[in-house]
Amino acid sequence: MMHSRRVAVTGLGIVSPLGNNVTHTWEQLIQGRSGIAPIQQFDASQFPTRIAAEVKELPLPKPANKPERFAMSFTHFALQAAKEAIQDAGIKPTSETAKRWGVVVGSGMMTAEFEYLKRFQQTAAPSGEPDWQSLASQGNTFFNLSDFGKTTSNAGLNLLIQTFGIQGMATSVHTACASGGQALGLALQVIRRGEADCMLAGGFDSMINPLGLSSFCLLGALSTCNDQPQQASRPFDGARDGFVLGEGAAFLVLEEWQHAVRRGASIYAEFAGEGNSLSAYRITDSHPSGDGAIQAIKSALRDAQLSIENIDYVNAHGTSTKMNDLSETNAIKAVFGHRALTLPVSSTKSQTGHLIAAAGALEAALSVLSLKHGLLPKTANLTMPDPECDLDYIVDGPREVPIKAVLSNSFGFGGSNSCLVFTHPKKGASA
Amino acid sequence: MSHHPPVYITGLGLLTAAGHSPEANWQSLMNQTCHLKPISEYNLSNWACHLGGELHDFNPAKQLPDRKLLKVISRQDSFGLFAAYQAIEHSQLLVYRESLSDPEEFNDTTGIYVGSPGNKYLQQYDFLPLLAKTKHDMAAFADNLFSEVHPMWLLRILPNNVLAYTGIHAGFKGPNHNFANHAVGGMQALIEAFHAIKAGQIERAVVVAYDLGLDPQALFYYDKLGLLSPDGLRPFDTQNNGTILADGAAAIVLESQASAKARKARCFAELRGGASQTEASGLFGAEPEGQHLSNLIQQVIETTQLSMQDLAFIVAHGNGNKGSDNSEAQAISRLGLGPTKQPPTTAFKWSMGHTLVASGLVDTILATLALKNKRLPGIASLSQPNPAARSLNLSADTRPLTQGDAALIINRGFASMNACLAIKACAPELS
Repeated sequence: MMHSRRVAVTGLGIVSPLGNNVTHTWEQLIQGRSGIAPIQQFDASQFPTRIAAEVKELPLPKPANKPERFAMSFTHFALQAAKEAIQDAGIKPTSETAKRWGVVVGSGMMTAEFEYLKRFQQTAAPSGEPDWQSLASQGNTFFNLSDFGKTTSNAGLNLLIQTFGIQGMATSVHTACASGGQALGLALQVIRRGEADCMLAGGFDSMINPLGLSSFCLLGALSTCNDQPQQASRPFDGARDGFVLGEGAAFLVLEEWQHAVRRGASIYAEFAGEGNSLSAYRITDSHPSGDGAIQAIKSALRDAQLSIENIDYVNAHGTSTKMNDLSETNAIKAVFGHRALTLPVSSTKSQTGHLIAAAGALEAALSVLSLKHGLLPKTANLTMPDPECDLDYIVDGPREVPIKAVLSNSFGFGGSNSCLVFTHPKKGASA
Repeated sequence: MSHHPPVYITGLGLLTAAGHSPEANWQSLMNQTCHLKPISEYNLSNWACHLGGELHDFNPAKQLPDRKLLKVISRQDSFGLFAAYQAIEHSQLLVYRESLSDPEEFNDTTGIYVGSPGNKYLQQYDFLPLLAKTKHDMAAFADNLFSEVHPMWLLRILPNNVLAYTGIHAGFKGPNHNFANHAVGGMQALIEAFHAIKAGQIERAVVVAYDLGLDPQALFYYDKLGLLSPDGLRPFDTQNNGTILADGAAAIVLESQASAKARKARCFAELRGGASQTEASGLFGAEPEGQHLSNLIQQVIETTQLSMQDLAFIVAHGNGNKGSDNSEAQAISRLGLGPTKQPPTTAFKWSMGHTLVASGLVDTILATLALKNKRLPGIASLSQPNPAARSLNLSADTRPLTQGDAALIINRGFASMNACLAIKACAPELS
């Protein structure tokens, strides 16, 4: 079905372990730098995993206005990335256009800050069990509105709504590691159906805190390659031992195509299609055959009206876990058939770590930058290929290739899959 | 916007303090029974506001088909799964699928859309004994982590558990979303599922919304914000002095006309459409005059091609909070009709409490039953409408529906979110 309203990408913003803006992140990525290092935010010295991909040198500032009272470090990442995207697009909501702007965020698990949990424990659970009478009696000293505001499920969303004065469709989605991709996919649909002309869409997350790190250590999901942090994230490599937690945010300004053309906007790419599916298999594992991911990739291609011949590069989910890497490889093989072995595929998580709810948004932004620069980032640390993972993972460094269409994959705990297709704004990619 | 072919509601599931089925909730409204009582699950006896809508007699171990599942989900997830399974069974979707020689396409074109509360404070209490024991020493915390905290803790608290397990239970693999946007998340899930069907992305969807309103730490903050009533939920009354939170879940099966026709499904109502917007008035604020909400309602009436004369009634959000009730009353009053022509307006939260994320779906299901039974339950706790609500067509008693065959449902949440949708009675031959 031909979509009557096409969608352009006209602004990008990134806060990542590689840099606190788009330019720096892209340069570091292409230079093969790693954002992974020993954890600095708290004493992780006794955890099995002591490394992560942290955002550097972006401390949470003192609130500059009322909405910022409810900001936490990762919602601050969101704000910075969204500001860059809006500035980059050269357009922002006004009182006349506010209702034609929407915002969709893929947000992390809004768990309370660890310092807050410690305060609560001291006040209301000194023995380890909550005592509600005690909370009531000490209520006035414990109460701080900011604590509640920060931990409300849509606090990050609200920060963006108020900062930019958006008055249209606004929502926050969470499907674990597919959140950022699904947020972009939903924003695409909102513009297509005519409910908005411009959407701010992306994701933000950080689970690099004692609770987040604990939760993944308990599951045994993280790499324990503590002595060589830069080599810890090894997607598709035979020696991989888990993923590396990352943090950050990425936002895209999406705009109805004619709206962008009329104002002479600089268009990075066409957001040509999205595929969204559920694996319905297991909570943490993808189906080894790629089932679920296969439907999402096929559906994204169909939505973009492209064939397998049109895709020039796949930015893989590539988490550096055995199950994901195998499942994704098999999904690519199942969809792309004869093309699979020569189709360039890479996982930028090898350098950025896994930004969880923000991963899909960051990788969408990096995919758009690949289109713009004609440069495909490599998969770092792939030195001992897993025999079952035998695609062209771009191990030979960034590859300069003129490309017309890219596919960006995100698959989450719980089985939600999101695949996005971006095409070059001038070269197109006809089926 | 075209509204043909229509989208039908073909299955319902409901779990609130008023009962464990749509019929039980409906009967409770007919009997004018209020289920808001002192909370018994926690010792809140010295709290000024200690009323709630508890799910008495709900035992997930007995009421969910898989007891083992309880080890890897949170209590609120069990509410959502109960409602989802009930709606799926009510719709007879699985019975029909069994008759198909190849169910794959059916599964791939069945979506799951969820309104999720995100994370609750209660979910972090597994860490309180560890914090108490280690006195906040990070090294000791890490050393004792594996002996003190359940290894599956992260999986238990995933905000998309209901989405994932509904998919695994039923085998549905289509597009999916999980909205964590405070109280409007459920209604946004319903609206997006509607759009996905209209856009041809899916043929049918299971829409679920659930919440655990009775989280004492959250109740503490709601109380401090002045949002809770110590003695009753009285929407639009001169004595309205706050809301009363509740546990609950609701689920709706939506189908395209083609899907419903193919399996001769029973139609409970037609979903005409809906929309959601933010006022950008703050995380906890709402525009006092209700202008934004009024505009949204008007927009929904227009885009669903209904007229005011088509409206049999309006179900207001009516949460009993003075600020919210007053702005909502002004928004409804502003629809352009004099008091004598105002459609009958009601609200249901006085009976089972404010189920937050679930509330939009709870109200939609009860509105569906009102259209079907041609009777509109009143606001039993209403004695004297407050001045802002005097132009509304309110009643404490059940009224027969004599005019119109459509209804509007209004839903509101933090981040100054408003949502509104329209339903219409089914043609007699489909009911």
